[in-house]
Amino acid sequence: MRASRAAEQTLRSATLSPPQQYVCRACRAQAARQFHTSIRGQAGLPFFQRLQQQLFGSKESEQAEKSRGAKKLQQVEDLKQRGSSNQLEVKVAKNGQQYEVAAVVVPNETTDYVQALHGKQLERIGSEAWVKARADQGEQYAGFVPKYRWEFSNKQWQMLLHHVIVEILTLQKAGRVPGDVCMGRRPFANSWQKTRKAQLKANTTGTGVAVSYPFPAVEERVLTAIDSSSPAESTLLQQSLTAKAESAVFVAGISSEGPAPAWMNVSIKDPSVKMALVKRILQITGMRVPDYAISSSTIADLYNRLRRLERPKKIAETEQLQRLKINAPNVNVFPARRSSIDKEKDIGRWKVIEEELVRRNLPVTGRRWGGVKATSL
Amino acid sequence: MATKRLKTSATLLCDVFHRPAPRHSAPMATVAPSTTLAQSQAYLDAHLISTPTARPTSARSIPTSTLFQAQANPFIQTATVTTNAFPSFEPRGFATYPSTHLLLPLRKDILHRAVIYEGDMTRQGTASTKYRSEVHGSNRKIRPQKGTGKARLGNKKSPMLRGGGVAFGPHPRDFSTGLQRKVYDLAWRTALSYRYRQGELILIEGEVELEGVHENSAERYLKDLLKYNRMGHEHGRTLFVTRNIREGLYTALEGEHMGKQARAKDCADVDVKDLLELGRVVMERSALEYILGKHEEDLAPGEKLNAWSAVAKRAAYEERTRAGHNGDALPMAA
Repeated sequence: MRASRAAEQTLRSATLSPPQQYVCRACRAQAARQFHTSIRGQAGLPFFQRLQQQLFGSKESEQAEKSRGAKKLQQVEDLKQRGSSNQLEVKVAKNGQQYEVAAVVVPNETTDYVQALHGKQLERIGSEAWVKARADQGEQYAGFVPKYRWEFSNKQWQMLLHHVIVEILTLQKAGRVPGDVCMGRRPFANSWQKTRKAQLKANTTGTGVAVSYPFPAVEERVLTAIDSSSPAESTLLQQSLTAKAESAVFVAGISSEGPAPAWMNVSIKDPSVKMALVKRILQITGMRVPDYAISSSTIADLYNRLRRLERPKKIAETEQLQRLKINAPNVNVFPARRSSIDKEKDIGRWKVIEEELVRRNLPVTGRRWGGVKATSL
Repeated sequence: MATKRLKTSATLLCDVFHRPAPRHSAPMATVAPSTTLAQSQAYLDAHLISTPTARPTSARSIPTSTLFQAQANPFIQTATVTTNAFPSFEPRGFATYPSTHLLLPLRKDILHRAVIYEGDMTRQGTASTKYRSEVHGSNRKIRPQKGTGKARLGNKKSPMLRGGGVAFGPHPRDFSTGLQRKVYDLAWRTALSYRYRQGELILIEGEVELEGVHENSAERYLKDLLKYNRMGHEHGRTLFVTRNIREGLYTALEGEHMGKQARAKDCADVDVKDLLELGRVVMERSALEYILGKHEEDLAPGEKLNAWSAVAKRAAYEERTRAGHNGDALPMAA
């Protein structure tokens, strides 16, 4: 390096115009001495010997390669003795900074090591995203709302509301808190099928609605299925839960589509019941019950706010136009634009016109084209 | 800059105006409730239902007589809002507010006025040009009045000439306009009512803060949170409104491209336009009550939030003592 630096300096001083015109003999002699064009180590060798060494190698180069290979093998042996491949050797540089020595991988011995075919397969390090990913501490978000969201039809909403309110009433009857409905379920409990058999009736005192099962054992099973000791259902169980919901809901429903049936006249003024209902619906469907729907006083009101109104297929069937028939009986609404042909048809003259046009070999409908004698209607 | 601001205001207002009405709209505030119910339809369980906490009255407020008790307004209904936990968004309880605050009918004209007023108020107004008197140059007449065959000209600072002044160009000025305080307050509550009706107002009990999350993972954690709850860019973005500055949340939202996911504002910084702009508003309960309490100038003293909450609590107590609490069966609807 020192020789190259000196050579560079010499060349620079030789090529560039010197700051002063006069260069002394001693400086000129020094410049000439320091100027070399060949490698110092090989300078003394003749040309052919130098060429031979470059092509076939020399003893020194062979020895240097051997020592490097031995060093590598030694490193591999050290790694094997250390045991874990994740532990890298830590060295301290001259400036005191610690660094990890990269692992040495021998492809012949390491079976799980696959050499990359090109650079695209390799990990790119040093980018801002890579730095952020390394700095990330790895905290995972766990939310209450399920990841998916089910879209239910009106029939399915009825079934769902029936199932949830039956469970809540069953819990209340047993003296438990309605909020327990959001808790976990024992595996293979099949409470969806069991709640379908329950009926909601006005109780004997006439002040409220009570749930009744065909058999007491069914009610017991519904209660035992709600496991109060286990925590609220985790996300791992959500998939199985909603699969059950889907399967139970897709089975034949308990009532036909349309306005709310009579059993839905269950008051949900009690905030604990309302909260349990809202939370359970959110847990199952992933749908957040809108706040204006929560102010409903009965399940029928809630259902009417949540269900999808069947949109009329034709504009003529919409409520606005149905009202128009009553409010303005002199107004007619037609599904398509009225043409002169429609007007003639109303009068009853179109048959005659059509016959005459056909007789005269004229176009009955469509635009006029050149070469045809057109008669205006 | 000014034109851009107006354009975005216009597109925002178009979005509000031409948005299809919800299939089921909340009942109008002017419908009188059933006489069998208490005026606020207050509920029985105090731990789930809560009314706004009364703010301490200021020294400048009108002192009320100790014998005076605010009478219930029979036309005020109750808006029930679910309160959730953060960051899980698990429903925790209900909060009730009067219909004068969260069930107002949609008044597009008032919202328009408020948005334009805010836009005008926040204009920088720093565009500046030079009049011919301000342009640097001499006042020498550059050519004779007559005889040149060309138009007559005075000095070279004329607006007709290149390098001259601008005739009626912009100058730094204040663009702010006035809006009646009561109208502006009504606009605030109308915007919140609109969001409530659309189901886009989510209330958080407690603080909206990323607790237990390292600052290096806050951005990724918040992105996951928004994606999981369907509140991110694909679902129209979210505005977080907090009572005070939340360091963790605000720092997480300063990251690159996080503005496309969500925004966070202090309740002192938020505007009517901000409430209407993004897909939904996630608001701390304390922030909502602060905003509602600050923007009720157009209401009578008996209709303000403090007075209503006191009356509602009294009515709830009366309802509880009169009806009793039957845990055996749910009451049948009348």
